[in-house]
Amino acid sequence: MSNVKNENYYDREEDLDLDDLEILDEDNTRTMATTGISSAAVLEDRSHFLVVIAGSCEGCRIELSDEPLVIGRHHSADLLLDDSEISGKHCTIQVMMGEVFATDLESKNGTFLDGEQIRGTVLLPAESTLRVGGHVLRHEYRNRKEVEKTEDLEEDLKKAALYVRALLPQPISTSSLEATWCYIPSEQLGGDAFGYHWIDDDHFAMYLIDVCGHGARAAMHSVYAINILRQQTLPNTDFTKPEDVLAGLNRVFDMNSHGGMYFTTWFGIYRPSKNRIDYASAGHPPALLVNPDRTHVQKLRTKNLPTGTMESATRNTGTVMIAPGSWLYLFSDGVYEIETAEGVPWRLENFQKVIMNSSAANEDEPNRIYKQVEATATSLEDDFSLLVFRFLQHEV
Amino acid sequence: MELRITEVEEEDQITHVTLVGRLDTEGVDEVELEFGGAVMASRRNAIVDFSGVTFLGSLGIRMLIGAARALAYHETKMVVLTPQPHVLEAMESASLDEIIPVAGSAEEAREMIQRSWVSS
Repeated sequence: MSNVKNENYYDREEDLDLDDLEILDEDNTRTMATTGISSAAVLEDRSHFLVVIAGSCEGCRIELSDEPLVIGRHHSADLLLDDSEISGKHCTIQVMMGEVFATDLESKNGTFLDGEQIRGTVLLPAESTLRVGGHVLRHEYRNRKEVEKTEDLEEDLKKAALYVRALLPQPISTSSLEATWCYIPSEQLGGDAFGYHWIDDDHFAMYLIDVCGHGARAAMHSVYAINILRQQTLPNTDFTKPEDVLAGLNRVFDMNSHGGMYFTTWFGIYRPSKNRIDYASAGHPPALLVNPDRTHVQKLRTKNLPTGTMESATRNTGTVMIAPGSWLYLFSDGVYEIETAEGVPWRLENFQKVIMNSSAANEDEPNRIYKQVEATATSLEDDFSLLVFRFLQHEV
Repeated sequence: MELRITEVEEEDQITHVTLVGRLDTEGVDEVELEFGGAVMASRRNAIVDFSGVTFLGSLGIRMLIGAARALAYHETKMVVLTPQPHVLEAMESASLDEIIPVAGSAEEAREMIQRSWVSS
């Protein structure tokens, strides 16, 4: 506190004047003094918050007060951050005279305000960021009710995400069929949705849709569509015929009637009695069929425009015979539309190599593939949806 | 994302548009209105240079589909010029080439516009 000027700070009638901020030092540290407090702040019921925007406890929000908040690795710290680059007691954050000040406690690796290392006590302006170790904290000066609404919204989003998860199918492991999946949305709510179910003893439906965009809007659209597929509620549609299903979806989900939203679709029917899959896709990446000894891969897709984009979308379909023991990989483009650490964009063939690298896929296959993709990508910016089916001996 | 619009070639009445950057959510936000004005509102045939587009996401696909639909209504066409391989893969995966032809050169693009083509 020794290098902070305290002139006139009791004058609450004056608004904060930036001209009153005085930089005392010419080196890379910033030490400033204020000479007034914004009276508007008092009237708006605003409060100072510290929000963790990177690191563990991301999203954590702490309301600041005139009591110093100690940040550090020691168990006695008020904000305990498990970070080896943070000192036991690294810095404090405190509200004084209506402003927020950060004090570095002679930490080993330093405290940085908007990229510049601080020494002693400095003013922490609203919306500025403080970096301690691998953690980044932002000072927010917001109305309490606004914060409550934000927290309520985040809570609603969490519940919505749980609902979407509840719609996803259970894994299957029987003597005739195995099905597992991995789903990691890019945001709290994603635009991918998928499912599979037995229509009857000889028709097993498998489907995945990818709504354009992310977030709540895309999620709502995907839930609507996937529920129609799960419950088979498309009118005048034979759900054992993929081309019928695609045509029905295209009629119901015309993008002009749904806020410009469209989605890509892959829909297939496995016929155990015939060792065959009938399928149709609309603007969707191909599913990959791998033979039993994993030496050959075949792409399963048909040339149709994405669902909802054109009234007269074509209804191309495909059929493939499968040998017992074959695998089918069904996925959205988020699994391979990534950039490597070197900035090289992946293509489908890169993802195909990851699939074929496994000599013996097991029930953990989707997670194995996800970890490999995640390790390769700088970041996963799209929803990651991957289903793996194994078609075993048909039970007579 | 950057959008450059060349003056209409009076002789061919073709609008030339160049897109540079990522056609992801942010990129589409930046250029969609201007792109729509240049390509759709003009009701002219359009050649869109895609050589500088480094990523095509679902919202970028939607932008292109919207343009293709609007142009088809006015019996005009849009041709995409020399997309990068992974961008072309994204277009083919979405079957966009069914409604938006892809040309390997400006000459080929003009020929595509001049001759009639029907999506299968």
